[in-house]
Amino acid sequence: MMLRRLSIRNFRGIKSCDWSIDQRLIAMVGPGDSAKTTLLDAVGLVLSPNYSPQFTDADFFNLDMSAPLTIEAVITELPDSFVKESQLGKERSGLKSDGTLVHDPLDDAEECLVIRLTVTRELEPTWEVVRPGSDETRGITASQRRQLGFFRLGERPDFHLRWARGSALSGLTEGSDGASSVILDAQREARRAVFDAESNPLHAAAGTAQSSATKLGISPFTKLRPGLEPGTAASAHALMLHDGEVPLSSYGLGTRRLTSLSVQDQAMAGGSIIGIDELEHGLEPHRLAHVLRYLKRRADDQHLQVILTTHSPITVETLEVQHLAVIRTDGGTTSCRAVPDHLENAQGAFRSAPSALLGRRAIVGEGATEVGFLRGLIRHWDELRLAVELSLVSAIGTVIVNGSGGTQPTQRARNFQSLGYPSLLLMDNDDRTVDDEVASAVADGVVAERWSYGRALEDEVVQSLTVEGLQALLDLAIELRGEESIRASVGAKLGDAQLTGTDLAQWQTEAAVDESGLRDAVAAAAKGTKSKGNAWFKREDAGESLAAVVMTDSGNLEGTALMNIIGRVQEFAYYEAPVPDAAAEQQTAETADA
Amino acid sequence: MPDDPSLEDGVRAIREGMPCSVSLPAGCGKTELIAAVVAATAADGGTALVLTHTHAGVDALRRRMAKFEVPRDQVVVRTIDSWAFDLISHFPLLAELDVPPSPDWNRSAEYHRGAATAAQSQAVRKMLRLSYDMVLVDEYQDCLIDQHGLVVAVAQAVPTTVLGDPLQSLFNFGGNQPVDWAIHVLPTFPLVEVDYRPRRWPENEALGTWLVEIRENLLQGRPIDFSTAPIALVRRDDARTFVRVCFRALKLDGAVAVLGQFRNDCVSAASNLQGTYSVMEAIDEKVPAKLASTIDTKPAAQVAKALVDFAINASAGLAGHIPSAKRVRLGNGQTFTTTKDELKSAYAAINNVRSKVSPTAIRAALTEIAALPGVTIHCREAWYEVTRSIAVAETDDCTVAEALLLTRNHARVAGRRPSDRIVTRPLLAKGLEYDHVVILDPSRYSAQELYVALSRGARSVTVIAESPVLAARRMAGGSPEESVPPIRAS
Repeated sequence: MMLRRLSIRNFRGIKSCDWSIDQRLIAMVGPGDSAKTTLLDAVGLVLSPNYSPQFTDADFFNLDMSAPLTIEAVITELPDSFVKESQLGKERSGLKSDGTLVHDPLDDAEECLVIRLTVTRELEPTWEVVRPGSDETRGITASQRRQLGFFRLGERPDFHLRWARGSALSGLTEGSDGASSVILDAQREARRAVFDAESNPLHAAAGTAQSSATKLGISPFTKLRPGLEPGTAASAHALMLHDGEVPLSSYGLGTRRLTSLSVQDQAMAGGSIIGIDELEHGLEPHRLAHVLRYLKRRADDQHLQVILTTHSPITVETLEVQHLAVIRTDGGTTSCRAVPDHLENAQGAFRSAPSALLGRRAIVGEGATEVGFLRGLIRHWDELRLAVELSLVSAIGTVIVNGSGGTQPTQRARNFQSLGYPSLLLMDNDDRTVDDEVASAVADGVVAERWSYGRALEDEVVQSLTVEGLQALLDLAIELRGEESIRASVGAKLGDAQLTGTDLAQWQTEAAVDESGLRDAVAAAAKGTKSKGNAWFKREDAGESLAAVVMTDSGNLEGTALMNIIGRVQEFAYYEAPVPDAAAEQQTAETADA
Repeated sequence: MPDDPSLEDGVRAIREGMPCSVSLPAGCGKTELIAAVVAATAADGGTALVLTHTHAGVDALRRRMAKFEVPRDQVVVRTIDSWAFDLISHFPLLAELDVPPSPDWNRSAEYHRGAATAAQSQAVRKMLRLSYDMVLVDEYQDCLIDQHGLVVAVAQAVPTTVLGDPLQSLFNFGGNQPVDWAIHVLPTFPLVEVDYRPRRWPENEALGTWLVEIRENLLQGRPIDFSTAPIALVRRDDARTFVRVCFRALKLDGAVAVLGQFRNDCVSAASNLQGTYSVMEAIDEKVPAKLASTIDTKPAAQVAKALVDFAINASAGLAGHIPSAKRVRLGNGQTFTTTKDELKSAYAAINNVRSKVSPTAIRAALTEIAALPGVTIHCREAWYEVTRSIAVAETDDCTVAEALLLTRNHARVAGRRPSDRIVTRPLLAKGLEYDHVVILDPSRYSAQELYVALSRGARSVTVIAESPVLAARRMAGGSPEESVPPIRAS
């Protein structure tokens, strides 16, 4: 059994969604409120073995019941029992390799069933098998849907650890009355045990009752004594897995979820589809990684299809890119994107910044300096916004990604952009060999911010700061690398001038250069020589401190190229999408008018 | 019976021999054998698909399955046509044929070819393989070439047995091309020999035995001698001999079938029998269809005349009430009246049709006509079909031709009310069983028609003939004497 396509209309936060699936292990990632759990719920409902799940008005998009709620699932790898003529054999359609659905299961297509759940304003659900391009429908019963083997991990973590009716553990038990006869025998044992118990205070109380009854002339009892009421047909719900003496309900959530998963995996002989909300829930990182590898192996062996949601960078790091589906919802339209085949080095990009996939937008800094610089800027802005109760960058979902230099920054920005994450690339402008790469990233929609032509970050900052600001920068550099080192590196750029102290004005005199000559020398020294690794700020923490220096001086720098770029980065980082509710309400109003 | 040892042997022979073919004479337990094979398969957990040609056949097979206590989910009994149509209407792309929601059986050959195409697809083969452990096709001598193509395709997916009797092959008329046992059947479905004994004649065993004995003569084109046969031979004295015989037969217990050859001579015989026997119609009889088309498309005067003509042909005693001169006036749009009070309301109803054709007016006219004194309807099935279609056209607001199609499709499934005094012909009586049959004129039959006619009566057969020895019968169709496999009587 494999879910190959999911089409949703008017379900909760999803007005419309069409998702094509070709993987057996799918981790849905994306920012919060992107409808990941709603998608999982939709799969659960359309494949539900439940006779009649309850629906409410709130299950309709915007509570608008003028159009029906529909969830359509295309299922391939059908169990043999479905293919019988008396079952759904004549209701099969075909799924071609290019993804198109055809009415008949043609020889060059995969046989599939298109199952549609419709809920109308009467809140009555109907499940049907439909055929593309025709109005014919045929009902599919709850027991037929049960054979689809969908299982949702997480709703009732203990349920499948019990011999309850319909639980996976009951499914694994041969014969249907095994559990209840165990329960009945246990009740009879218990009854006997109470009767056989040594004399205790209960017996004394019973004796008192008997003598009192006799005084009142009640028919003569032979012997009143305490006893258990005989059991009736027993529910096996109380029967649950134990480890030694310990019931599994006493174990941690993670263990219970994993055990439940393993039982379910075994219970569906024909292979099942498992939905897991927040796989990482209750699991330590090492157990999470282990479970992911297990699920991946089961999926690779075609035993399972697993559809999970995650907010864990570890999941993103552990899985391969093809297992990721990026979910985004904009104005009710939900998109589910797989990582396109043509993306280069996507694996590296996502492993380098797994948290970016869990956010909304990405800022790719060229290297450590830029990443630190960006962090410093954001810390500065967040502090200002906190004071006036504006949302912080974490709420907006902007994530900073380290580009790691070379051609990787452009590649990474393009990777994120192509998955629907608006991406900004912050890069130096002193290396002409990457210009083409940057241009194609821009063509893909990436916002590229580069310093003035010919300049690196250090150039732009050193050339833009006021004299006071420049002195602060120098003081920072000295704090990071020591007086000697800084003096030597600047002196080297000034014809080996002998500099003393740490005062810039003094250095200017000592080296006999004008201010611009001194700025050039400081900038050159700050950039250092690549082979020597002696750049002043090429560490994240250094970049972060540098940003603090710039922002302290920023009041004096208005209109400079430096501040213009920083301003645009700020706008990007704190972009607020129009509130979807407002847009939706307006739309509803328009519909009502019409 | 289930414990009949020869039945067990037959079941084993078929189950071990598939794919195979079985030839059994009429009344020798073919239905019983099929049910026993299905029951044995079901007992092993298997499921069977059983196909036949007529809805009456489906009914008979289903009843026999119930008698053998075959679980309902382990056997599917359908007509080849309805099963094929069901398949292609679900898989138009695989069948390479688009069909309307309601079948048009004039296109049945296309349906069969489409179903054969679909049955060769991987998806349908898989479905068949997973659904059935065996396929049995009954009355295989009636399979047309296109149906045979479908069965051959199905047999690629599921072990298949075909059963029939080449001596009962009657579909060799018009453009029909039935299977030739030697050319088409045996190469794909090798013969499996099954012992048999006559079973239809517990009250007339001599007849059963004689019917087996004459098979060889019929196949070889030798004369048939009725004088020593366990049948009642009535010498034809004049053209009305049959009327006396048939009136006498009215007193018999059980169902009586009078057998003619073509519809015309059946209608004429029924007319002479004054409505005591009703005429059995083919499910695709042209007379009602032609009337329906006239009602839908022709001017009112023509409709009124066609309606009266239809009523006269379908009944006795009406022609005197509406003589031919008046019918001509009716068709020419001239005054159409009567002086007889008892006829006036019928004339008025017919005039209403002529002034404005409507289902309501036509229905009223037919009701009035049927109620006229001394009128008996002998083409009751045709009459019912027409009145029913008019009513459907009235309520469903469709043409009468469309309504007729619906009525007939309904009748195919639901069956028609059986009548136990009936005039029919071998083609329609085949596969059915009566207590007594009267054969109006055996000299006009082909060998197959004669065999079918003689084997319909379980208790008695009466033959009206000029002479006790019937000259050599011609086998209709190909050359069955070469194609018919030897049959061993037990």
